[in-house]
Amino acid sequence: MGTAIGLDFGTTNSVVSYGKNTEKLRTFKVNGSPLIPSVLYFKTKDDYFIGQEALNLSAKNPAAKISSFKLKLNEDNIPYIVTLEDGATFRIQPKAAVRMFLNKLMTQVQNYLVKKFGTEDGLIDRAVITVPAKFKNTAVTAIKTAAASAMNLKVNQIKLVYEPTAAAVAALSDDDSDAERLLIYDFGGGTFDVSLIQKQNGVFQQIDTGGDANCGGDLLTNILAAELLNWANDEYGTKFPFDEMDFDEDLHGIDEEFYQKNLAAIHKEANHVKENLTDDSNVTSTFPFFTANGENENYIVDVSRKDFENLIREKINYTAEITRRIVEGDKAQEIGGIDKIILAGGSSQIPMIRDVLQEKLGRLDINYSDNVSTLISKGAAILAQNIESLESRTEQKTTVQIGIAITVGMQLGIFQTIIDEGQPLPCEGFCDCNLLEDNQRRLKITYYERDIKNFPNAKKIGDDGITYVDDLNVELPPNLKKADTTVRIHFHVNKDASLEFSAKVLHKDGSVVGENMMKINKASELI
Amino acid sequence: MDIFKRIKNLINRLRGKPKRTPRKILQSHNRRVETYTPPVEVDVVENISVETSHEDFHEDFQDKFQDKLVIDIKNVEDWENFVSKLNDLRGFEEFLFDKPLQWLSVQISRVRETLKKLSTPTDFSDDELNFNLAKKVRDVTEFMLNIWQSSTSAKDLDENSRLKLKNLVEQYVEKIGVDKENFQPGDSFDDWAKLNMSSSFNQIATTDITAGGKIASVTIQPHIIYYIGENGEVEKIIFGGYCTTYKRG
Repeated sequence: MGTAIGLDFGTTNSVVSYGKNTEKLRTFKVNGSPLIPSVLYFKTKDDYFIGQEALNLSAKNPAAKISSFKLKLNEDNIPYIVTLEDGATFRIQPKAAVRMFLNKLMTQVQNYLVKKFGTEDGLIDRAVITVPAKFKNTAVTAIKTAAASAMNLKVNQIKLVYEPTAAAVAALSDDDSDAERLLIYDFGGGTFDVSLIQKQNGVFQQIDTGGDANCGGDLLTNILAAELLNWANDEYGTKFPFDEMDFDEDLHGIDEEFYQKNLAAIHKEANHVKENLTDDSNVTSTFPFFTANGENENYIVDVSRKDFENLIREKINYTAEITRRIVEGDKAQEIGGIDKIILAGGSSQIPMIRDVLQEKLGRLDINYSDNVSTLISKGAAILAQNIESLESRTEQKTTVQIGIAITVGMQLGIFQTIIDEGQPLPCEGFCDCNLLEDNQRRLKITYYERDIKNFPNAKKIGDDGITYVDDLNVELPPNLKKADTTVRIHFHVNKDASLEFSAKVLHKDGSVVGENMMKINKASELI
Repeated sequence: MDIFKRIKNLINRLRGKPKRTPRKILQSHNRRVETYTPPVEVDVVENISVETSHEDFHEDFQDKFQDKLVIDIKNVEDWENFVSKLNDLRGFEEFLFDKPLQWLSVQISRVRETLKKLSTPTDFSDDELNFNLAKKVRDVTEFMLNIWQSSTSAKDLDENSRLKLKNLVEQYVEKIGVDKENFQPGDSFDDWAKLNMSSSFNQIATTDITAGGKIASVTIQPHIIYYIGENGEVEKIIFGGYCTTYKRG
């Protein structure tokens, strides 16, 4: 039997866990680190690098680096323009970037596993990939397709689950309590996510989600680093800016090289201080600091946990407020509240978070999860080990509405819901379309997603909260009469949130004229 | 008062630690009177098969580390031997006694705090034991490299003391089996980038086309820890390096 893997394909970093049924889960590492930066760097159009190596190389030529392609896939899907070291340029779709990244990563993982377990046992034969709960169906489908191709797997050997579901699976695998209603507070490097998961009769059901894609733990480190720089500036009478864009050699009286060394030392120190303030109430911080006259001082300062908490209080309160809204929301009340909070993500170990959550939410049971940075991939690997039963062990719901725009009459441009938010997966819906003329051979449908929860007033195409997803081009059979014909387009959202379509032609007497004979092309796949 | 006690008191004063209880003083004394056992060299692994954690691993890796120290803990004796090397900070304590530099005291305290968290394993068959120890060695070495970096231009050190401190760091790092690369100005930055170290460089602009993409200066060489990985094969962690590279400007 081969090896099962769980892939946490993150916006900033990716993590791969693997395991065989009888052994404990492991995490693939590069240079001792499980975090592989989700970055591509192109040396030539065909010769490219991923991970930390790509990140390092991109210093030479930032225009040949591609990052955040997972987010871009979900947002505008606009191609990147890459400029190579020799000045040549080419365009690359986010979807292609995802495929290239996963191809390279999975080749490395596969080679490693074959070395570890041998040719047969090391072969990846099951995989679960995590996707954010709020992700467009086209993006989800593109990730699944790219991953299946990168791992040489068939569709039934690869499944997608939402990140919070995977985190809950991993967190509960080490939990002896009978907790069933879990709130996952995930404060990762780049994003903050909060999710309510219910485990009932062995099934993980996603109840509600929230968060902020721009409020990650790295922000806290930066706040501390900026403060350390302020203190050092005060001590030595310098005015070095924290933002490199504001730096000027002449104005600040220091070589850029020394200024950059200062920033590097301060960032490194801020990380050290942040981590150590988790256990200690006071940390003595020291770092080399080049002053305006080029002298190298060793700056020393005591940083108390209180100092740090005062700096980050606003951000922590903000995350707690998002969490409170979920806990006190209708969906949480419907299931009778929550039993336990699981803290995931590197920054969630900051002691103040526990205090603030308890202050806002009352005395709830709060658990730290070990190996927070690998939690999601481990949950995915656990699910992958028994991939056959995955669909019966997870119950996920749609997180946005899927619909089309009304194209005629007074309601022109108004969003019309086909599949509602909060529907258990799998689910489906349909829309009926009329022909514009006799013998029409092609029908184009544009569909959208509406984030009704965060944008309750979004009604019309173009409003905030309603985003274009894709165009469907349906090839129709010949000789259809406009007056007699309706084309019904079915939207099927699979258990893993990927989206499929089918179409049939209905005669006005109710009979089906054509089914399974029409081809549906997605515009996103033609690029 | 013996020299160790005086140094300890000095460090504690600098760190603002509370006075010790008589019981702690006694415990401390008991530790002092133990016979010092010189650290035993960790076995150099022979007949090593090469582990590649990613595809473009150096092909000549096997040849390279035949004479290297590889962390390979099999039993409590191996563990204690290695940890005693890590704990041997006498040279720094003596230095601090002569020159009570606060920044140095802070870094040495960090080393001590890190080592304090190292508890003797209960399961020596754990195949992640060497990796976990290697991570601690990396943390300790990072603090040592901070000292090294500070020593290069610290205003409060005269030339002799500076040299002495740099030697102390180099000897300590070598003693615990940490190897290092040897990059020179003019070397290709690509080779540095491939070592997969994070936050390991800064850039300066140059109008010289031939200098673009090359290393201008090396502040700290990349350091390497070899250990027996979970597959029973040699793996490595590369870390700590810092250089300045040219960018076309």
